[in-house]
Amino acid sequence: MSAVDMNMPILIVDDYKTMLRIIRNLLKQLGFNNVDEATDGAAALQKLRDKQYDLVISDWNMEPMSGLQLLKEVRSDNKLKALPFVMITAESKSENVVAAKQAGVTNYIVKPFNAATLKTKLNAVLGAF
Amino acid sequence: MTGEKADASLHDSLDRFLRRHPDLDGRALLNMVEQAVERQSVPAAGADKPLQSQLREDAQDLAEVIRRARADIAALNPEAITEEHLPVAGEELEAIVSATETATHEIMEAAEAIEASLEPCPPEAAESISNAVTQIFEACSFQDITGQRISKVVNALQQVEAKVGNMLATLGGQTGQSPAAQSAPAAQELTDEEREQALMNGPQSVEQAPSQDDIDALFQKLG
Repeated sequence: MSAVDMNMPILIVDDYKTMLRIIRNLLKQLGFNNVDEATDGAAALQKLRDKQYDLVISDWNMEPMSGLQLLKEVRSDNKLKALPFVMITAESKSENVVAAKQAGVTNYIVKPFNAATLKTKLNAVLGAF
Repeated sequence: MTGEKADASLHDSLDRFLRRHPDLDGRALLNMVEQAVERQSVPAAGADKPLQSQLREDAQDLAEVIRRARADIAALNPEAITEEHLPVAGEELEAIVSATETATHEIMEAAEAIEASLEPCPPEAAESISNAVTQIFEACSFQDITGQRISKVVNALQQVEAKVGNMLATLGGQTGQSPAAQSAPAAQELTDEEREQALMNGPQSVEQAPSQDDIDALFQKLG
């Protein structure tokens, strides 16, 4: 039996509604149904401070607050700093991966991605489910 | 006027000009160069004849290049490029993003409806259909990637607009910079925020983009 709580609250962050919908649907297929959405880093940070989440899946390239800035805010907040944070982004240059890693990202998925990659990375972050 | 006096006069003029215009007006500067070139073209008494002759020819060539560049730019009708062609191209690209977004949502809506009606299906068929629906969702991510690619093209067009605006300001036609040129960052030490901004480049070309395996290897290496 899986030790992962499939009802865990997950926040997905992306400025493209299409991508939010894709990630939500893929998470649903993996069995995660408790998913909230935000369309930029600032809105996401507000949600993270208003409600307890167990996982953040965020895009990088957003205005006014980018995914990297959101990650830094999360890691500098005592209540949020341990939150698993997965970046899903088209930014695939090595300097991006290094910057995200230095900021404390938990895992990094490059777009375009598929359901199998998402499952593998979530298994690595949350444990097998 | 001797060559030395002409140099001193030009130097003084430029000095006064630069004090009056610390932000440098390229067009006015060019006009000044042209005037100086014309002054230099007047034979100076007692000057070294072969050198003076060479300098005069070079100066006349330079003046001719500037005149030709101005004429070429005027013939290109640059105002139409900055006021019509580039903005229209940008609008068309944005319309493409909007249309593909609408179509993608319609496709996903249909896929979600298929997935929602799987319950009565035999398990084997349901799994097969569900896998196909997953592939549809995955394929729909093209819209996000193409949207970002098109945004890069729009940014490139804005850069072209800025360059054309600068060229016009320097060589004639419009004065001042285009809005895109005015918003271009000045060359200076980057702040943290600007450094982070520089990391947002959108998707790389298919040939250049690393795979997820490459990213994983780098991620592991970073510890």
